[in-house]
Amino acid sequence: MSALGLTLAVLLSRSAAAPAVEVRPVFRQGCGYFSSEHVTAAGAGGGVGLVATWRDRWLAQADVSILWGGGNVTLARVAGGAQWRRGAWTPAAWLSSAVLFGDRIETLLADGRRPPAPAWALGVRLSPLRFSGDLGTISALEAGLGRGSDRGLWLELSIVDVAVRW
Amino acid sequence: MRSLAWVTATALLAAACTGERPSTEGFAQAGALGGEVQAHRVVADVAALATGHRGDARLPCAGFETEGDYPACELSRDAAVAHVGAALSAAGYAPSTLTLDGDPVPGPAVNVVAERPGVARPREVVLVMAHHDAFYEGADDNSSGVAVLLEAARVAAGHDFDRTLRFVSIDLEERGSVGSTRYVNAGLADDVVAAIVLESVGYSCKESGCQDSPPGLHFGSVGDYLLVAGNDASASMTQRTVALAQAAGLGRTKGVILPGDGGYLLTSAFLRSDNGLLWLRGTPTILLSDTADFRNPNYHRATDTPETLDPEFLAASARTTIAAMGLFAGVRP
Repeated sequence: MSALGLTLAVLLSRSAAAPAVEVRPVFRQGCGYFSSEHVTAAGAGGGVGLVATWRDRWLAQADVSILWGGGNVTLARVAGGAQWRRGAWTPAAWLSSAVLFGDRIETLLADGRRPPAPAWALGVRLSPLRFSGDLGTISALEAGLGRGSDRGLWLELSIVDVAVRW
Repeated sequence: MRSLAWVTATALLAAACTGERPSTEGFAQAGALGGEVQAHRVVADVAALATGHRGDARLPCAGFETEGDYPACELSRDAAVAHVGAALSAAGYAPSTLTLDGDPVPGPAVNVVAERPGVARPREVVLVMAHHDAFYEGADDNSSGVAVLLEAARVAAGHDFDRTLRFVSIDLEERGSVGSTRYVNAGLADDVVAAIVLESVGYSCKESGCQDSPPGLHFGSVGDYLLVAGNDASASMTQRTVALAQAAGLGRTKGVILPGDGGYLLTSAFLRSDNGLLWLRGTPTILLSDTADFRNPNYHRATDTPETLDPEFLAASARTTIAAMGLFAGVRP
């Protein structure tokens, strides 16, 4: 099913009341960029995780992705947030943490040591195009911004996140 | 108080996760070797090579488009080949001219090769390489690199090394690393255990904002350092070169280690020189550079003249190069 098809499906079908706590698998595509004075890790790719919704308001998500572009970067994220409204259109805001393992471009310390690993970041993420329905939730173009280890800058952009209900 | 605890915890965590210091074994002898550089000889070689390029016949350029930073019809090499051969002979070597043909770029690549056999492990070769073809006078790109190679050969001539030293002045880098590609593809680097590639090592700038960076990377805003770039296979070489330069006070360096073989989208800027195929083949290789067009506004222009170079920076590049050469080749006391 295409992203557009799923979007239409979730928009058009929302009937039963959601349980108090609901945990769903989430699949995502997107890109991330971490850059500090000593570390650059970035790429585009995809991953999987779990998202929990409590009382149709509060959100928690953990996922792992692989990003390609500067080697193989493993991105692990844990986030908590809230969706602003109930219904089909459910925009959300998150406080997010990210840890980046694996390949990266390193600028050595002056004495030749390699910079600390892994790189990490804390930040916020906004999901303005997030829609919910009986089939699950689909969110497009989530954008995140944060700061992290070594005073690094963290930017992320999800192309699409799909959380499937069954 | 909480913020102090947070900062302390973060600093302790960072310290715990930071990599180990590189081994300093051999630093004393290698640093002393770097100290034997005679800056006036390096400067004189740059001047002679640039003068040679200025009056030299241009290589055929039919089929190459002149655009942007690529003045295809201003490339020369014959006078540089002659100078390198003469300088190596004067230093006591028996240099040979190695002409390699091949596709897809037409024309021979005329390289100059000289060796100093190792006394303990002669079958293990440490390669020092710089390209001698240049646009216009090519003072920085790459007469500076060739001049440092020649100084390395002169200094090495007075010492014994565990491994064999091979000095290769390579051709046609400006046509797409043609000379080094043919050299590697011919199997002539199969015995190389460590390689040092010199690409533009004489230009510095000290005003904030004069240093640029490849997309997504941070080279800093001031260009007062020699870039030491390696990949996974040469990570240790990169670390040890940076540590050696600092410990022996040879000059400022910035070490960069790229993931894998360096052949990724984000790291492609580092594959533009003669280190490229060596990296892709897995040969431990470091690239030493002033970052060329990321720093030098005269890159591939008629204004790339000896007067624009920084003699002290050039000397520091030579010291670092020669010390690294001694470290990896095992200079004997």
